[in-house]
Amino acid sequence: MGDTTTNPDAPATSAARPGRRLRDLIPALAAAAFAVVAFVLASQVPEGARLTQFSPRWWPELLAALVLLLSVFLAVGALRRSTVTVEEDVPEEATRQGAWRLTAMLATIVGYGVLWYFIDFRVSTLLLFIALTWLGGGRGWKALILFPITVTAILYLLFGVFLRVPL
Amino acid sequence: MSPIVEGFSALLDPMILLCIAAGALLGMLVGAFPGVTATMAVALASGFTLSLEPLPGLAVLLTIYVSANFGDRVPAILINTPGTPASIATTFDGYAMARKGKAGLALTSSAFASAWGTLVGIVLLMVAAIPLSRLALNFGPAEMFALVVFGLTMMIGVSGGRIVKGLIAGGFGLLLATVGRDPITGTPRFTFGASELSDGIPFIAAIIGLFGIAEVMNQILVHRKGRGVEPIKDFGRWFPTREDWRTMFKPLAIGSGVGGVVGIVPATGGDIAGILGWDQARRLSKHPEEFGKGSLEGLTAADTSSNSTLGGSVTTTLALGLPGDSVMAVMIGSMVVWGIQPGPSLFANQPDLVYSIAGIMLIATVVALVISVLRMRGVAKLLELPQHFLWAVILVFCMVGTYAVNNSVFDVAVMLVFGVVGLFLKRFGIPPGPVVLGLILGGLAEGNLRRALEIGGPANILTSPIALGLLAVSALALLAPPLRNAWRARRARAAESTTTATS
Repeated sequence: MGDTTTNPDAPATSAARPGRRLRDLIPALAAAAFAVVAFVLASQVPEGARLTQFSPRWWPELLAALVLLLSVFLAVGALRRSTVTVEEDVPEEATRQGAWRLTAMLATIVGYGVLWYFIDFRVSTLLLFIALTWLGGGRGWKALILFPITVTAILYLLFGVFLRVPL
Repeated sequence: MSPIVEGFSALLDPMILLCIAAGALLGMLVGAFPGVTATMAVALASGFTLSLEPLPGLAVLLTIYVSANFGDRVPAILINTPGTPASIATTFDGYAMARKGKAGLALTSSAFASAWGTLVGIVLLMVAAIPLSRLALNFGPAEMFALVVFGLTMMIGVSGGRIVKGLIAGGFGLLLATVGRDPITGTPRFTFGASELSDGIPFIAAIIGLFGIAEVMNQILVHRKGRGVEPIKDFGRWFPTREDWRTMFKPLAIGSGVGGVVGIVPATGGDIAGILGWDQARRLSKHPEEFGKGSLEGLTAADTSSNSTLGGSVTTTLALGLPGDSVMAVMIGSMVVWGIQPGPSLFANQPDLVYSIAGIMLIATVVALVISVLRMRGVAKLLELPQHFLWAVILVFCMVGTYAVNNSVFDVAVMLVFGVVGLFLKRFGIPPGPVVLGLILGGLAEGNLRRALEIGGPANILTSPIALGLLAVSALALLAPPLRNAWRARRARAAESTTTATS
């Protein structure tokens, strides 16, 4: 029991690897919600001068209806019977540490986006590399100093100098 | 000047040769890292190649495509993990050979088989591309719409048992393609007043997010310390003997045939071809019992077949405008930005491009073969590199590469959003390929369908034998797998009830 609570590689939650039924139901619900929103937004697209037989709404409305129909089909299938198991369908189990690491990395990337506005690209990117490598589990001077400096230099040379991208 | 001379002489530019060298190194590296697929690498490279001229840019992307299909054999043979999906079948016999102390022979034979397969594909490209595009030039809106549906359903049809999810993914992609201006009237749709969306969703950003960022996010999410197989260190002898070459002859022929045919079918790639080629060689072998236990025949057939698809995929992509596989779906995005619109008129207007592309692939094959034969031991060392270096590099290169396309932070935000969407798709078993295909082909599908219906109503489609044929094959591709499963289940139930009744 102690292992389960302290082991960083333990599954985050039972939803870390969704069950077979949930793996169909959740995307079905998400697709249905997306289709409904798309249909509502499509119905608000201006009709225009109706130069042609079909208005600009026609295609997105048709697609939204189709996606809605398919999502209902998927949901009903998930509820009525066990779905066909396809080995490659089963995602590898997520770990609690992985979930934290991913969240922290995404937050770091957003922070980098903000930082880029205020300080030089080379400095902000160097800091980003250090942060990402540290969050990924890298330790020691090679991982946290040598690697970030080398890769930032390559990145700057490639994009900033060679391809003349205004960084 | 003849298109052949013109096409090949365009490659004499040192810049192109430099791009091929860079692409070969990059391709070998990404192929050798399990988890970095050729699709992801090409998506990543799209970011910085867009600043180049079309031909050098194509040289980088095509060479990555070719050489990743050499590099991916290394982890497949040494740690039983395919470097990219195209080397799944390599693991069947490659790893078994390595465990028997024949890793060196497996690596070298695999490289020769892969090179032979790629060459067969290139010949196919040179022979079939122009006639195929001339045939497709006669297509009107009805046929073009049917062709797009055909491409989309082929990609969905090969998504294992995930037909409904594949269809939803395709529909999602087509809906995303409606963002921007209406293709006929120019009316803005779903732009919410943002000028960045008036040309539609930036698809390079979307592709990098779906294939690059999503994959890394998933790896971070599921990563466990100390997991993985210790790479094989005992390589044994490296070069095939005359006897080995004799053994390889038949599977080379079988693999070339299977891969060539599979490559021409839109959306089917080396993964499927490798497995089919391996299976076909097993059926026709004098020693089928050795397959899966370290058979040189099995390894050769799998790798030849897998790489023979490359030329076919490029042919379908460029001649018809339909991606031959997921890498080509990504590459179409870059081509469109360069002003190269893949489709029937491309080769009719620029026949020399066929030979330039074939030449790039030919040089790339030779370079990849040389690297494979000389530096396999070095590439094998890469398998010991910790994953956190790779994650950091991919994440930052994806961001800066996406920014570089339009110098737009908006594109980077789109890429991150698509990364999260891609992670969701991955976790819930929804194939991302149809989303990309829908996003790329959506405008073509809508424009042609509306034109076809405006011209002559539904009869315009229903009276075209080509359109009807393509739509019929599409329907068959979607219906065949579930019908086959139902039939098998019924047979199993019938067999079970017979057994019960007898006992």
